[in-house]
Amino acid sequence: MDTTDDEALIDERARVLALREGAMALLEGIGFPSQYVPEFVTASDFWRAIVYAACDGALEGDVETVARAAAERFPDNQIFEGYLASRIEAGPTYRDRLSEARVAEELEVRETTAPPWPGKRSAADVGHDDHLWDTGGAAALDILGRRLPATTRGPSIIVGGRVRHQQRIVPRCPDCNGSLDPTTVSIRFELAPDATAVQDVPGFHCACGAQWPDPLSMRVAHAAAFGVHPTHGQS
Amino acid sequence: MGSERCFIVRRRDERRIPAELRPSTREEGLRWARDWPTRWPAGVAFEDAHWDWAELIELAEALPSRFACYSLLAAGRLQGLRFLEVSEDEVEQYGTHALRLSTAPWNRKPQLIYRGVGSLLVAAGLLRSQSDGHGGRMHCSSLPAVEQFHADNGMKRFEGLDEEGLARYRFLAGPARVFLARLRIAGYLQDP
Repeated sequence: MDTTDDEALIDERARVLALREGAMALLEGIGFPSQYVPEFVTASDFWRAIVYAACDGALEGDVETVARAAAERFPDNQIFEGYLASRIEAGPTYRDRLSEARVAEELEVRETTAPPWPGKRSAADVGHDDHLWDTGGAAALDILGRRLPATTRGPSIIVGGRVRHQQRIVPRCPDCNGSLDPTTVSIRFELAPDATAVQDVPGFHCACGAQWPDPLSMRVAHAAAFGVHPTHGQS
Repeated sequence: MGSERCFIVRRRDERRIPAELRPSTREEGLRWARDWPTRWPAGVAFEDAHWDWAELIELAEALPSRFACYSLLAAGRLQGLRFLEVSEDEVEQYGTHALRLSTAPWNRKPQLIYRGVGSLLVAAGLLRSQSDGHGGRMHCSSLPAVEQFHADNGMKRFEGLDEEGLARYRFLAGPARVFLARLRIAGYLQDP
């Protein structure tokens, strides 16, 4: 590491320390219960945990109390902006919003793939996937190299009841509907009251600051953390 | 959910929180992956912790005439998920096949933050059954831990067990209407 890198690291550590101290002072100022304050690893994860704890009733006045204080102290905090923008208020239902979007011709294709509440049942479109849900057997057949019946539906291919992507569609950011880019997300599992495991898994990040682990990678990481074989679960 | 509004209740102060029950999207798969696996209480083995909801959502999107997946969102978070089979597999005979239901880790012991999540997800199946012309009839296999819930809510038990050794229950049209009416009286469902 050269001198420039050293200085950059020192600057970054100073920035993180300043953020942490500022955050702690803010929470202390609004009387946020200390038992709900998480470890400060990244600002993004820290504030998300605070927001969720506030939503769950950790603080009188709910999340708005935190948001108001944070907006004053950290005017550029994108976590709060993104979170508050995504809050679900009592308002138009999903059906109303779909109707409005159709009228405004802003409806995205991905919202039309499954009718919310179809008025009548349509004919089943299952063709060759008669072994749907026989997933335990499908895994064994995969190992033996057996040919399995497959069905394609749009971007997905279904083999032996498992959805395998032919052309993976990257979702939008659930918080702000922004586009997502690949990244590595650090995940912490609580294995026991006094034991944690941290893993880096592939995922996505958004300009709003949110980070999302890839679901499949997350499932594998979860199984690995707990020493469970990641088979397709059946009830 | 249809034209009805949904609410869940924050247990700490009995505050009603507006909720939204809607068809699941891939975005909810991301929410599930980020917020659920890391929040399972340490040292507690839940029977459904290994279910891959992101894949079930994909399956419902790929085969919408056979499967449906619904998400319950409130307070900016994914509070629960419901996976249904809406055609085949005895649907004509017994109504919508309720395959999976999971509530978020924070809605279970020891945290139990919100109340009403599981009931609204049951309601999602009943409303879908009504919408599909099955009159609210719905059947399911029951994990041992929730058999009492099914019995307490008027579901009738089938004789015998399914191929996995689980008890099977079903809602008939009448008990389904009663269940939905109770949710409306309790304020979980509300006409617009």
